[in-house]
Amino acid sequence: MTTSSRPVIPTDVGWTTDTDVLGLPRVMAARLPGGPVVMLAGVAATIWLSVADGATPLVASVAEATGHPVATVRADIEAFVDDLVGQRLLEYR
Amino acid sequence: MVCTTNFAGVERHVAVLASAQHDQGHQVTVLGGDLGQMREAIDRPGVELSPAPDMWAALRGLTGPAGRRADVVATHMTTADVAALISPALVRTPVVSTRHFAARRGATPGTRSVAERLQSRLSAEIAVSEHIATSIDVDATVILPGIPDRPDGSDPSSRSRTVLVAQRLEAEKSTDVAVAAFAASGLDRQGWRLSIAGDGSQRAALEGLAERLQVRGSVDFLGHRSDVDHLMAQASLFLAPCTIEGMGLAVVEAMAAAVPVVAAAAGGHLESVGGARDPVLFAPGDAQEAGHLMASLAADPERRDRYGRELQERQRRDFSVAAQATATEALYRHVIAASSPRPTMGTGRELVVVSLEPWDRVWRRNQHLLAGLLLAEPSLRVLVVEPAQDPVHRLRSGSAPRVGRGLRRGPHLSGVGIDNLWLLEPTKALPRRLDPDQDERWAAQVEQAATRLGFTHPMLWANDPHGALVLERTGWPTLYDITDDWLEADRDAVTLTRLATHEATLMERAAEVVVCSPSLVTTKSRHRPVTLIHNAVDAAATARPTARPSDLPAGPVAVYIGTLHSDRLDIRLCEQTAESLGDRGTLVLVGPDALTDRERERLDEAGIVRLGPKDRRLVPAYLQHADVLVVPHVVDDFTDSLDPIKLYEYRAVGRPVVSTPVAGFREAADDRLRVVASRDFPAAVTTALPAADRYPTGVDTSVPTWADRVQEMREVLQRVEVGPDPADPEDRAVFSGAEVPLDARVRFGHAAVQQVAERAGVDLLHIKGVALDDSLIHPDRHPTDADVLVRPDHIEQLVAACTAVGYRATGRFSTSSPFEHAMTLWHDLWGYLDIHRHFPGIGLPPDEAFERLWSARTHKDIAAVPCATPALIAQIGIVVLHSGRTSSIGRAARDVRHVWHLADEPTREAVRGWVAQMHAEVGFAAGLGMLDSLPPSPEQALWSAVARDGRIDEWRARIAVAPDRRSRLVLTLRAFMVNTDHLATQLGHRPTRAETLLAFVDRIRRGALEILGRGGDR
Repeated sequence: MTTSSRPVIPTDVGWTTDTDVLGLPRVMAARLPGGPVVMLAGVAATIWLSVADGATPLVASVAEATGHPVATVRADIEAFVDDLVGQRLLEYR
Repeated sequence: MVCTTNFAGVERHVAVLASAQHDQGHQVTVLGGDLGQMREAIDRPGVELSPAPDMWAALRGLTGPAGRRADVVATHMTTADVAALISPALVRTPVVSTRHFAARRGATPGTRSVAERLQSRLSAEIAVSEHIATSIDVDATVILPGIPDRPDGSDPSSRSRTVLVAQRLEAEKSTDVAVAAFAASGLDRQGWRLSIAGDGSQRAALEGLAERLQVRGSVDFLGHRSDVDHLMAQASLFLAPCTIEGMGLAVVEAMAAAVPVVAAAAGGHLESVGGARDPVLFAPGDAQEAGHLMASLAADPERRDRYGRELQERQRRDFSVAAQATATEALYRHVIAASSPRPTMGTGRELVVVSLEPWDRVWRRNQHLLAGLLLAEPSLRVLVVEPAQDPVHRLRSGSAPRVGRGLRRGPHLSGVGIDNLWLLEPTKALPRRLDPDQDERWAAQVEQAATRLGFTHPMLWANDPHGALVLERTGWPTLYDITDDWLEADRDAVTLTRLATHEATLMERAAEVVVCSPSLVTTKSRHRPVTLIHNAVDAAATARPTARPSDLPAGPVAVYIGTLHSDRLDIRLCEQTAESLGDRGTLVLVGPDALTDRERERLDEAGIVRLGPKDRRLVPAYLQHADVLVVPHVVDDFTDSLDPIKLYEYRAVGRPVVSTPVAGFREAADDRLRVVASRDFPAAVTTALPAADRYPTGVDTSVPTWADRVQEMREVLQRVEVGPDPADPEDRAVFSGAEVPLDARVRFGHAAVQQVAERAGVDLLHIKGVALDDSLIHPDRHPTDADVLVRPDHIEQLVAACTAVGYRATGRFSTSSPFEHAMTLWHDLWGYLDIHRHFPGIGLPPDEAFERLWSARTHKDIAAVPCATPALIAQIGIVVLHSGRTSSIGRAARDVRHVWHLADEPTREAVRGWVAQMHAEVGFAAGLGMLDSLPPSPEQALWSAVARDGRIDEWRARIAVAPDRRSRLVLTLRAFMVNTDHLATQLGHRPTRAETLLAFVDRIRRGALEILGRGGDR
């Protein structure tokens, strides 16, 4: 993840949301039409929704939403986004 | 054919079988045996008899009509085997040898040498007991000998106080043990007598023994008797001291006479008497124990009666002449068919299994499951693709190189048809780096083999990840069966990359994924839903008492059973354990050897005994006779992925176990299963030797059997074959096997087909369900599929594009409905997709109607993908039209109420205008439940019929509304035909011709009943 680009959802990725048995939001995302479906819950869902909303800067938005200091969560968020980019569920633009 | 002039056990076996085969309609000629006694025993003029006192006489007999015309020649004992195998008259005739003894062929080294050189030419071998089958060096089919049922007779307790022994008086028969046991029992002092029927070289010595033991006055040496049946019917006990009986026919005859049998726990006795619930068996040679058991039975008349009757029932069930003749005929038919390799076409399911293991005598998961499936489903046909033979690799590893055996029939399995199991062993001629195209050729070879067998709609069962190549080539519906996480195994980078690629393909495209361990569930279900099917145990084999294997070292033994591979087996730990054991016992490894030379040397130097692979039937003996069973496994991610079959075998047999903390064992620890860290393992094993108890102490009868797993696998295969049941839309998700919630799945279904359409340049509109405007979606409505209306000219393009990305058709336009408007596709991830080429009720020509809808289209984001939908007014019209095709109650009525009855008047007016433009008045009236308000017309009749249940009316209406004479004719003919798509859905598999015929007859019957106004099952 670099500061000069931001993660976005590619046009060939579909995603939708629902809630789990505890009523907590979760995200399902998939490359189309081949899949697979990846289910994201908790902070992972929050990160995805922040990306979908175009929140910038991403790390700060997620940190605020989860109540953690930016310095604490930055590495984890960036690694997670990189992982999704690796799965081609996100791309940097 | 039996080359003797006698009439002993083998000749009697031949006589009984020949008679039964004659009675089943076969032409039988018997060569050999004492002619007079054979004739008397067979007593059927239709069975021809000729003498064959030696091999030369046998050869002469075989050149006669009997030999030349025979479909099969059955030989008994080595001389007959050799005669048949060298006879020029039998070059093309299958020869089946029956093994009566648990020993190598031939009484002399010379005969043995000749016979064993020739024996590979035998078409099959029969063993008359499991004991014999496990003791010989070939894969024999066990067919238990039959004994004619005897009359019920009197209860043993009301018979004379006689203990009967019936056998030749030769040293190997251990009659001395019988005399000593009788003396030890003290029964002579209670007025019992020991009757010994039979004669031989030991008679004088036995009489002397009886004298010395002071029981001579109570022992009757009857000599050779021809009325043994009568003696058995009179006896209260039967004593069988011989330890080397392959089967022990006299014991089975005693069982037929309901005589309680006291037998040495060895050889065939363990299968005959051993099959009883509480068999009376004594340690081989232990006269004291035998005497004690006899005395105890003699003192308990009620138990004698109960035990005698149980043995009689067992004989009648498992040792019947009819069962023997039937099983023998099945084997003969198999070898006759094998001599002509052309398969007969079948009508049942077809399964191509790409297996990680060859089909050999060491049965593993695949063989247990497949054998069970074949037995459960007689029409199933299976092609097992074994690992390719690699001559270069074999040469490098010091083995004799050989090429693969290609396509051939599988071995005869009792109860399985001759055309139902096929094996393919390909050849890997060169390493991959020299022959990079070999994988493609291999996949082509698999496809060609399936074609040769006449497979038309096979399913693929990929156990070896290379099965991905077959999936990619053929597109067969696939089950990926993961039994090891090879991605965690120690392999070179190139191999791992190849495996990872195959695995990714299978995980993405297989219809179902099965795993065998909870660990694999954790790792694999991250990618997609999986089904867990554990391993199990061959309960019948494990529970049967066995004799101690002769190659098991004397003294206490710690036994490991499994494939010897350093991926699993901790070589260093084995060495340490052997060192710790010292003279206290021996570490024994039983199983196929995949070790390197250096690893073998290390084990040998440590004094560890390697016994090599064992026939599946022999494995229980090693389990039962272990002092302790051990699992010196490496503990890592790879072994954590395993569900070791040995866990189930170990538990079933109940012996103490010491294991490193590997998956399965780790969770199953109890008072008989110690799980210890590697550093404590040697000491724990050493402490466990010698065992404080013997089998069957600790036996666990609750361990799951392969029969349980077969049923689980059948259910998975059912899903692979047909996918979810489309008949009931509400139930579709139940069968999907997907963890993705149905609502999300449907949304993805729309988004996926939108992506496909865009790439293929196809125009389509998303209709109904989640594609509706949010204001039209009934809150309680949960769509189960994605519906799209496609520009009629683009239909073929879209179907092709969908197929290319993994959709497969489950229904055709012609069978979808009376309107023939839609076809259904299935995708393993996205579920059902209904492709409409027109919408029922819209009277405009399909292309014109689509263009109107398209030009007024709007968009809705579904799963975040923009999808084209009809305008809001058109959506309302379509919902109402759709309701017209279903009965006026339930969901459809709720939909109409939601979109129409709750709509305001301007909206309704706009919808009415749309209906008029689209010429949709009749269907719309049907949707509103106002069909009766329209004047009679063919179209009105059709809509009336589809909303009701009467199929006759529906067909009548369809025929009436057809546009021309030819269409009417086609519809009239089709009215009688069975909708095979729907039938497939109902049956859970593509219907066979017989099932289609049955459905056809049933259709006619129901039609007739409907016409007569009596209704009928639908």
